[in-house]
Amino acid sequence: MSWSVVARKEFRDASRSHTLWILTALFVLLIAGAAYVVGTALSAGPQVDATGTALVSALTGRASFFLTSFVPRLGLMASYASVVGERTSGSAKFLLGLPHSRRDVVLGKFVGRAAVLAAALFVGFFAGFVVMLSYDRISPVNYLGFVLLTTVLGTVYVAVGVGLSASVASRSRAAASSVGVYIFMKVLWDTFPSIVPRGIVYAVTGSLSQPEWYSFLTALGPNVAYTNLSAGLIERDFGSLEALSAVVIAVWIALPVAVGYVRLRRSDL
Amino acid sequence: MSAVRTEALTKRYGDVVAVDSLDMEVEEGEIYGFLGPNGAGKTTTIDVLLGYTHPTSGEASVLGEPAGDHTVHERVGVMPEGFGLYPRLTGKEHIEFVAESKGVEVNTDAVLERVGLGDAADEGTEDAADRRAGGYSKGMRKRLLLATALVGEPDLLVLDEPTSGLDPNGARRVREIVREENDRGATVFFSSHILGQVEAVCDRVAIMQEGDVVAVDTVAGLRDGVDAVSRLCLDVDASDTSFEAAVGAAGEVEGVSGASRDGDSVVVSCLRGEAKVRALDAVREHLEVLDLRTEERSLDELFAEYTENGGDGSPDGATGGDA
Repeated sequence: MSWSVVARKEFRDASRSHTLWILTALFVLLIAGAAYVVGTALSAGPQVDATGTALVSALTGRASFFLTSFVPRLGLMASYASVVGERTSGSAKFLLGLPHSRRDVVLGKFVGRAAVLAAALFVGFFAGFVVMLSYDRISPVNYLGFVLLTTVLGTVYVAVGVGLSASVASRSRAAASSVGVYIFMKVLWDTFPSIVPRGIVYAVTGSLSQPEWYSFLTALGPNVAYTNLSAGLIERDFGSLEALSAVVIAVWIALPVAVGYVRLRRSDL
Repeated sequence: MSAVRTEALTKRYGDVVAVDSLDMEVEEGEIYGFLGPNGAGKTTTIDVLLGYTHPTSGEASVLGEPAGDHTVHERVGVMPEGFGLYPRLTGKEHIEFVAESKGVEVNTDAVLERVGLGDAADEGTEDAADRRAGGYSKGMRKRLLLATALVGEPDLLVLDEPTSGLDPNGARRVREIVREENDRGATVFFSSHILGQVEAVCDRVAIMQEGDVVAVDTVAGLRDGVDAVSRLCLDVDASDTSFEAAVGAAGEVEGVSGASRDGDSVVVSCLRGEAKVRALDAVREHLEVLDLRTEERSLDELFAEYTENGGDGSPDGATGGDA
């Protein structure tokens, strides 16, 4: 498979990036620190849930803002230059001089960079796991599920970053548009007061009060979809909102990669 | 079947015509020199052949397949323009990546040795093959790019300015490798803006200018042309008002690529011997010629002649090999 050769090259290449190492180290510190703070707070509490779900629940609740802030940034950082960087450096001509189609290149870039990000996240979450073990209040199953979900969130942003990178002709444009995506998703959609979804509600209903479908609307953003799925995981509750959230996540992975490929296929290097 | 073929190939970028209705044919098994000044459209042509850019109109094919078909690249070795490599991967890793991509086995050390990046590399103490390409000099990057093109014994080598950025020894090594590959049976398509880099090694040379090939011939054919190429300097009576008419008349003569005034002289560039006499006659109809000199031209000057005067001033005489 041609794309897997590209993906392996990508993994090797990107995993040697100093920027990524620094970000990973920062992530390790943040996760370990968060685990410490959450663990200490729970230990001090009088009625701690002995099943161990409380810790992960606390982490998803209190830390989800922190994770949906940091993981998307990490995903975009790991991917925004992936394709356009090769165009500006000239190595794209080397790459496409080999028997790789542009589809192989986009797909291989996505898979390789997503694997690099997953490795970085696993390292960070493992550090957090080690810290939490000392509090003896962790459900490994819940934690693993949570780690996998967070990796999927990171994969969404790798897909977005690769898609942007394949769609533009300059590195600065890729950087600017990935910052734009981040701000839209995190600041305007996800974070209170969720200006964009509330604006949509106002435009549709003419009122600022939240209709029944409000949670389904916000679930169209990947950060909220991820938070919904995390909550569903902890509470073992999988309803229509979680189903929608899973579909949203899948679409946010597939669509940017597909659009990036179509844009790259049409463009001149 | 031809190794490379274009028919009325045109590539426009906005208002700029980079390649203008180009017809070109590279025979299987030959070394084809693709010559022209920077900006003539050589790289754009190669970009279309390799599928990096999409043609505006016209046809192009590589080894019988339409240009841009990536599967044909299994049989093509590409050395793209510039120095684009992966700075975080070592020389060996580049070679291994190419071999994996093409699905072939390769003796990594041997191929790096061949381009001068093996153990015997003269740069530094550490083996260049095990160092990351980000620390390579321009010359070393060119060598590594050449090595990647050689992986898997391709049927066609497309080398875009392979000698630029190399010292004379490196450039000679490139020509040796081109000959070796050709002896093995490979077709070589070799672009350069420097005639000296291609004349020693190419079976045929195409000269490209402003998006189109203005001459194709064997090197020997171009040399034959050179013997006839000369500049005719006619000293005339400068006070004569018919000067302009004389220059114009000389410029119209068949086999003359250009005529101009230089002080008290009319200077006529002739691409065939008999044109000199006709040019002299043409000038004498308008002016009294006091004295005359002729200067013979080198192959380098011929190249300059083609590429500086543009397609319009080019003669029919030197395109004999285009059939």
